[in-house]
Amino acid sequence: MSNLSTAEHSAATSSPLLTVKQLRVDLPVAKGTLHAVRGIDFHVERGEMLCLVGESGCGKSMTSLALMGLLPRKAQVNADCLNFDGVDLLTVPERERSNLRGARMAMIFQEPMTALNPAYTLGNQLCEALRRHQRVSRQAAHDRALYLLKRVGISAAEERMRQYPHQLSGGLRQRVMIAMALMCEPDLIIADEPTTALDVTIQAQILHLLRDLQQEFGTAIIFITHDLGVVARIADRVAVMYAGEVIETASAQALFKAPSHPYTQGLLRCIPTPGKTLPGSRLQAIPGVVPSLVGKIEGCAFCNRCDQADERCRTTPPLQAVAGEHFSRCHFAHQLASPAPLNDQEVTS
Amino acid sequence: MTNTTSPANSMDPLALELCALSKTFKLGGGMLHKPQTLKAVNEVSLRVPRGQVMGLVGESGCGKSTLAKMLLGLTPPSSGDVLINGKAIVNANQKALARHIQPIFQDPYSSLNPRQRIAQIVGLPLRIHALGTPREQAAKVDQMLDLVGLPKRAAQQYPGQMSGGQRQRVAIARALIMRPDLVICDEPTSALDVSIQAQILNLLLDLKDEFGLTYLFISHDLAVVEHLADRLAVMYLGQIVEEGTREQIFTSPRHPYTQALLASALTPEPGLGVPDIGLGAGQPDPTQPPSGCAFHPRCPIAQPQCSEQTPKLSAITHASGQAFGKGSQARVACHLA
Amino acid sequence: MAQTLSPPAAAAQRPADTWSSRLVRSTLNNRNLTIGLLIITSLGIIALLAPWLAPHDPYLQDTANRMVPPIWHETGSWTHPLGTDRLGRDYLSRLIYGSRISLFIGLVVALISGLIGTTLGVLAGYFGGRVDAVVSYLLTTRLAMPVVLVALAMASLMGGSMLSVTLLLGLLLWDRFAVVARSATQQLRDAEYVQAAQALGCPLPYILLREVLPNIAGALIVVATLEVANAILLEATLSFLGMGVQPPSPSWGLMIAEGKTYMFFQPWVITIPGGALFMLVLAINLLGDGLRDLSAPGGRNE
Repeated sequence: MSNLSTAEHSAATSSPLLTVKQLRVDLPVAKGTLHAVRGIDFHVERGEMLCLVGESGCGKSMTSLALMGLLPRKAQVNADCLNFDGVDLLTVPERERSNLRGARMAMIFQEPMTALNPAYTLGNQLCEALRRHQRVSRQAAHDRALYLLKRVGISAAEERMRQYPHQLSGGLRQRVMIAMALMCEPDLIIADEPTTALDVTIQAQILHLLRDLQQEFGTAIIFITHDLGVVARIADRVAVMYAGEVIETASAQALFKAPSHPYTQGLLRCIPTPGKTLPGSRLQAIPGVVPSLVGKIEGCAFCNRCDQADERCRTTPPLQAVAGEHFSRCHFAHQLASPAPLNDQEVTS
Repeated sequence: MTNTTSPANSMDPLALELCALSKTFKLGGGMLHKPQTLKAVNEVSLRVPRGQVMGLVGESGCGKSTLAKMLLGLTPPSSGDVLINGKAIVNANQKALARHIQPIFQDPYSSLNPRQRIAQIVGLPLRIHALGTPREQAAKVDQMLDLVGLPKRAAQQYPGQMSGGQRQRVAIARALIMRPDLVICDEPTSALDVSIQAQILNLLLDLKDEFGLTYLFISHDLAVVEHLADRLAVMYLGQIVEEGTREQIFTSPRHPYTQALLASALTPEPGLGVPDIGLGAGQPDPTQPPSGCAFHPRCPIAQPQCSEQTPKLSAITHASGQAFGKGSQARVACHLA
Repeated sequence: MAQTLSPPAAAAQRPADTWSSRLVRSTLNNRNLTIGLLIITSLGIIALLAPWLAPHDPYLQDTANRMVPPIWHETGSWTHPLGTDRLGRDYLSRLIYGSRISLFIGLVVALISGLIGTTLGVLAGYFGGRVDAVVSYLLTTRLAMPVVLVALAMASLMGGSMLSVTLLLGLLLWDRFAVVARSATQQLRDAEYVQAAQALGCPLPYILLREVLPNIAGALIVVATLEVANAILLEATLSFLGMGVQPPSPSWGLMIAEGKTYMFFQPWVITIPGGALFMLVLAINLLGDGLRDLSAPGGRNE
């Protein structure tokens, strides 16, 4: 794999690795249709780390499953464009899709306990991940598995290959999942909350590892999480989702320094940050709840919780460009993008 | 409803005191091998002053959940004492204990009986303890629901019809309806979205001030603990490795594990990257604790004596000891602190 | 507090969307459940209204009209639509009255064995340790017994009768209840709402009856329907072997036994009660399947 830094690499190839335009995912439920994803646009450059961040129910997991083609059959996936490195994911036959899966697009799931098959050894599962897609000898697969296990920081790798998932702790299992995802040298890894179920010290190690591996292998990663702290530390670019829409995309620096959507600002304000928020003070919570995604939503989905809302918010705001690559789906985007940092809580009562 | 704590108890400055509390489990064992002992809680001593929030921080396997269960009377300690309001609870009747200490659990989806209505759930403590007539109980339930920010019609709903944040409010209402002195909050916001977490944390702070509650706040989220707690204790493999005020712990942590925990807490500040904690990939195994200091296999500054001698939790003076005021003792269990 | 107020807008229900109307809708959507319920309800009504529905007295012997074939034979007649047996008793009436016996025994046995099995299972699941060991031992012993042989042996000691059959089967068929109740309770034992009830100082009977039992009821109801079917078949077996309900009671099993000798030349003597048994047991199994679908995680709000 190339040793170019991620920036150089993405400059070298101009078209994005993954382009998503107006992705919609609808699920029939008892009460009607659940519009889990309501027309989102984003792209992923080669070798970059895009974080998809949002709270529960925003549609981020649905997006990842739609990209991988892992949604249940009754789910309807539509998009204007769903292009992975020249392959149109909407029209590609299922056979080719499953060839793509694992080989060029890999997924890491949240629960390491359940994502590994308890009936097979780790070595078996690792080698199978490779041999399903490439014609390699058992020995070659074994060697690659060993190499990757060592690379992800698992000591006594040879012994671990013969062990079963239940013999490993959560952190180690997640490392094995990462190794498994890397077996075929995929261009894109979709990681769906891979560290949410782990202890915080283990999480730090796994994140550090992912960043290292990304630099070394040049893999693009879509990292799905609800934890803004994680996003700030590892993301190159961020897409914030709310109620099935992407409401803001920006580079990590731009998003945290100048959030341009009331929801993003609300999120940042309500997180207690040691050193910034006054201990014992009231956090500025976002009032209200997320609207139901069953049935149509008129206008901006956030307006019933927004203190800036006015008449214009009855119509869905278009995506406004706040600066270079910084977009926000809000009528007030330009006014909100103020240079002053917003987490200055020392003065609040 | 009358406050049933006697005047003598309510003057006790310590709401909660733990003295060398331990809990040992026996696992497995059969005809071919001896049962393993798991020392989930190992000689924990702690003092929680009245009206304060004591944060208890630690990762999985550190024993904080077992500790909480012992305080609530759900499992008996293997040794040591628990004193609530100055009185030992070891032989206390569960009902009497329940008047003074109540839990708020982590998972809003399993902490409420899915087959009962909210009014039944919140009113259960009053019914079990036969406090007031049914009409008075219903009035109290309505009052509690209002206090936690739920509308009146929530009383007739089932938990399945509510969101996670609302269920957690119900759990809080149930915990506080008998006005206990001490509330054990076992990761109450870990399963909630960040925007809901903020609402619940605000609610917990408001209620603490209104009712003069004392909280033992168990969490792995250091940012939340820093926001809420007055004092902090850090647990590792069943022992307290460091204890102090919030400022002491967050500005000058002494124990390597505390330092690692603080470094792992990722604040939403871009450009700082993920620090390399340097703890090694090994996970602690509670059934086979390391010799000497339990942390030494993962400790970046471990010395030979760390594997030979178990460090005792002892008081230290901080460099800027004066700044933290009197009575704010800090303790660390490390040979090198 | 205004800032923390969050009206449950997202969870608002339409007025008609109550628990009962959702139940009705789920039932109608499930074909198994609907068919099963229809058949069983019809049989239940027939059983209840037997005295008014049966054209003749099931015990009335009419030796002049013995072995009259049913209506679909050339020599059949509408006085005896399903023919008569070897003693001239009207088959249709005996069939109708026989449904009472089957349903009664099925339900009562399920009740008795359900009580025994659920109690043992819940206690084993909740306490674990020694209690669990004792119950598991009882369970293993019971599972090692061949039910039919034991029932036969006991019946021959006690003498066959409806009462003895009911008691015997009730005391023998509790195993599935115990197994299901035990595993369901084990899953609930560490649920936080159970811990919360314990932390409140709730007495043990309250916790078992009001916190644990309602939440395992779903699984137990499914087991109950299957045990009803089991009991009905076992009663038919015992009666067939002469150790169950005694003649002249119109138990379907007994009717089959009495028709044994005529099996080849007048097959309807066996096929009619056999067919009725088949329909009933099939209906109960369909009901059980349907209930299991309903109570599966996808079928309910939670």
